[in-house]
Amino acid sequence: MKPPWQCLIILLISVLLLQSCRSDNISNLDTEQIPLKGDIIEWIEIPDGLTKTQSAQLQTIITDSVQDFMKLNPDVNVIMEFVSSDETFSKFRKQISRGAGPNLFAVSLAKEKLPLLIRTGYLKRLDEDNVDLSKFRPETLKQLRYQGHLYALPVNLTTQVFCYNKNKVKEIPKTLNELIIQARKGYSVGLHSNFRDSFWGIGTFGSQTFDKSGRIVFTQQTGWIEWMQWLKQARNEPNFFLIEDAEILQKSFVEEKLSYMTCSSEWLPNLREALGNQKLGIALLPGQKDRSATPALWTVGFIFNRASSANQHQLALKLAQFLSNAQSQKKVQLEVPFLIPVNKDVTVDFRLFPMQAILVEQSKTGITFSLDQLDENQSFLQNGDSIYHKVLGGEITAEEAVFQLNQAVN
Amino acid sequence: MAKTLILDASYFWEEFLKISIILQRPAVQIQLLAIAISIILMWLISRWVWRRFSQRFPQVSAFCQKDTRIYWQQYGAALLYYLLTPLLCLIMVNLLQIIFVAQGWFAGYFQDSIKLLWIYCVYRIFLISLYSSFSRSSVQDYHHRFFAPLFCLIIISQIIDLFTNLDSLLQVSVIRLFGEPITLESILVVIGGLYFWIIGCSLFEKILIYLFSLEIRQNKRAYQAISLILRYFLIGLGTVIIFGYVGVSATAVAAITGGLSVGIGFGLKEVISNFVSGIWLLFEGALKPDDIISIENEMSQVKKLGVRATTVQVIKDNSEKIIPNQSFFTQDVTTFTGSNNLVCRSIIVGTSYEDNPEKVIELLLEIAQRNQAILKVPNPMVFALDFGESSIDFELKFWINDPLIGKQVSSHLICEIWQAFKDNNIEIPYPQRDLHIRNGFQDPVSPSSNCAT
Repeated sequence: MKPPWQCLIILLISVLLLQSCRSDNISNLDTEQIPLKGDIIEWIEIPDGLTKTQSAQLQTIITDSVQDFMKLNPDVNVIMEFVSSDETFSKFRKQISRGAGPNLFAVSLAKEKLPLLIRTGYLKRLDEDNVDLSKFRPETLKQLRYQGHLYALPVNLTTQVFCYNKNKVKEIPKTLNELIIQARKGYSVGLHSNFRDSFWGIGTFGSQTFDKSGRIVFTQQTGWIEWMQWLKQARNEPNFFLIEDAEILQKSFVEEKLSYMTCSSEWLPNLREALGNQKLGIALLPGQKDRSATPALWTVGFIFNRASSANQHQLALKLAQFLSNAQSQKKVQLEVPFLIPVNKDVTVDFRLFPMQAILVEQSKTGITFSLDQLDENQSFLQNGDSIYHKVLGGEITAEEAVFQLNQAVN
Repeated sequence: MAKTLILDASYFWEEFLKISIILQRPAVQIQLLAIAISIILMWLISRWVWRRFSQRFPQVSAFCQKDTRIYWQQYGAALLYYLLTPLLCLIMVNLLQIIFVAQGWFAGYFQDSIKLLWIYCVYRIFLISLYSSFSRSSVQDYHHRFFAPLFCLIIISQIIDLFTNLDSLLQVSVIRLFGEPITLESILVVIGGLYFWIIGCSLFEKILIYLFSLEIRQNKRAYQAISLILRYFLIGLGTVIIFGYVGVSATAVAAITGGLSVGIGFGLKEVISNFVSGIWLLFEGALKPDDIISIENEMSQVKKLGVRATTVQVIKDNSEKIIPNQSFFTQDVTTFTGSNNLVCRSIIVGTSYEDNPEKVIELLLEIAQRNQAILKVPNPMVFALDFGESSIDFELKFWINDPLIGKQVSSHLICEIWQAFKDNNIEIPYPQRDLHIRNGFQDPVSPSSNCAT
């Protein structure tokens, strides 16, 4: 090896060693509660279903909030990167396996592979004693836990609501029976028949999705059977359509072929752009007289890189807490109405912001899957679709379906 | 090129900050440090092993110092020389990865290093196969000018991609030209692409000719002409493709060429003229390397056909002359090797009126037929040309198939003719004059007064 190369390598090693010393010093200083100082990387997943304009709008709002944080902490520099949801996981996993990647990442926690990252040890476990969790809605915290430990902080929620065309509908059905009656009167109804997106009806028949230990239960629960039977019966109604493909369902609604449809809150930006506020209306999902619909709640949360230095993690945590405070949450909610705040101090005036108010109201009756439940019930969620379709197609009875689902879980 | 998002130059700074943030993490520092130390350590060990090996087996390990084909024992030594360092590094980094994973530490950079080391191994094996199959000097040229830079480029791009998004980095606009942003990718593609394309073309042309025909390789003239045409064709094609890929604006090119056309017309007239003439010569095939031509009254051999000028070797004094290509279009050029290599030459000799002309013709034909360099077909011929002042003049006309040996053959023939005439008592006369000295009286009517005998 030639001498210049040797010098270069010695220099590189020295720089790395000095960097190590620098990190330690900072971490020691952190414990002394000095002002925040340092640089961090933040990734934000752009939710599916946003148009370019809406995506740009969301990016501006988040950037503004982060700028506010940097104004409060002038020695902190946050480098943001917005990533599309389709490239999120592969890109993040590749980076984090090296110890690179963002210090914190705002991502939908409904990802099936997230527990795998936790098990591999890539994500930082949060010390609950050092984080104020009291401001968060308790149900949102459930989806942040894995094997009893907290691995994320919530940012917002998404769920399902009932969308309708204001120009076509005069009276909004509040119960499943009223919905059937409306369909018979000629109002076309589209239901998303995907297994995950049909969860909302189970609660309307009084069935509990989970037992006390958090396991999904099917046996001794008639709600599952009744809900599937209701779907099967509704399917025979002339104006009732069970549509598996989300795109076809949305397209039919936008083309005004449907008066009602069940819709994910993530679809609302597109629907609003296509139909406008004058036509698009949202309401609570129909339930029974004394029982509300129970749609699944999906949390978007901040996950933390375990490779972060102590100082970087401290900064990331502060930023996550700042972005989930009432003021930031309200700001985001007003600008991007389909995101439901997780901070319980955020209140919405129904008269001024009806869409936001409905979403918050619907989220109160939603059910949450913890990361453990998502991890344990992968096969259940995968098999659910085919079993559902077998029931609706008349291949098996609802009772047999429940038996098969039970087998998939256990 | 597909339209992509052009980034501002500030992206460099942002990416630099990101890398510095990542490098501040102990998990990253430990990995990089472990990789660096293991590579240095393994390199030192492999050097030590090789030194011991070459001390013990000096003959076998001397393969890299000679330009000769290596024998089979040396293949093993070559493998050891080229692969010991990467293989030891691979083993060490793999071991470190296992340890890190077992400890639950981050080990992604080890995985990346292993991938890069495998690329290095494949590259080294490729080099071994080249050095063991072809002559060392020719491989070394392409090794240093083509393969090594290409390998470095691949490795550097892979390393950059580990720390940042190379695709995005390449889309950073460095400067603006004619209102159009010039990205880093465009600059790299133009510089690197042209460099590798031009060197790659000469390699490709050699491979192509090697693969296609043995006949072409043996015919040096055809080989040079074909390779030259192929090279310029590929370079031209590559240049167009590269500039097309980076999206050079046709409007901008038109504006530049329009604006510079007057300047080009005056200033670069000769250069352009020579360039066009060179292309024309190549495609027309009027001149080929090794052709014997006569230009500016000098016999010369064509050595190298270039796009601007042609190099010829003057036969007379072995000097080399670089002739601008347009000269071949503006003046007469005699080629002796145009459609064939046959050259007709002649020797004129006179004999005394006393000698029988038929015998002289017979002797001359016999001498010509004896000469190995003179072709039998077309057959040599002898003509009695004239009744000269002091001799009957004969011309020996003969054909040779190499224009360069004409003088040598003539010289040889002259010597032989002299010897044959001597042996056969044939006189080669020289002009004789009878001198009459007048005695002072002048007889104006005498007819013999003007007559010389």
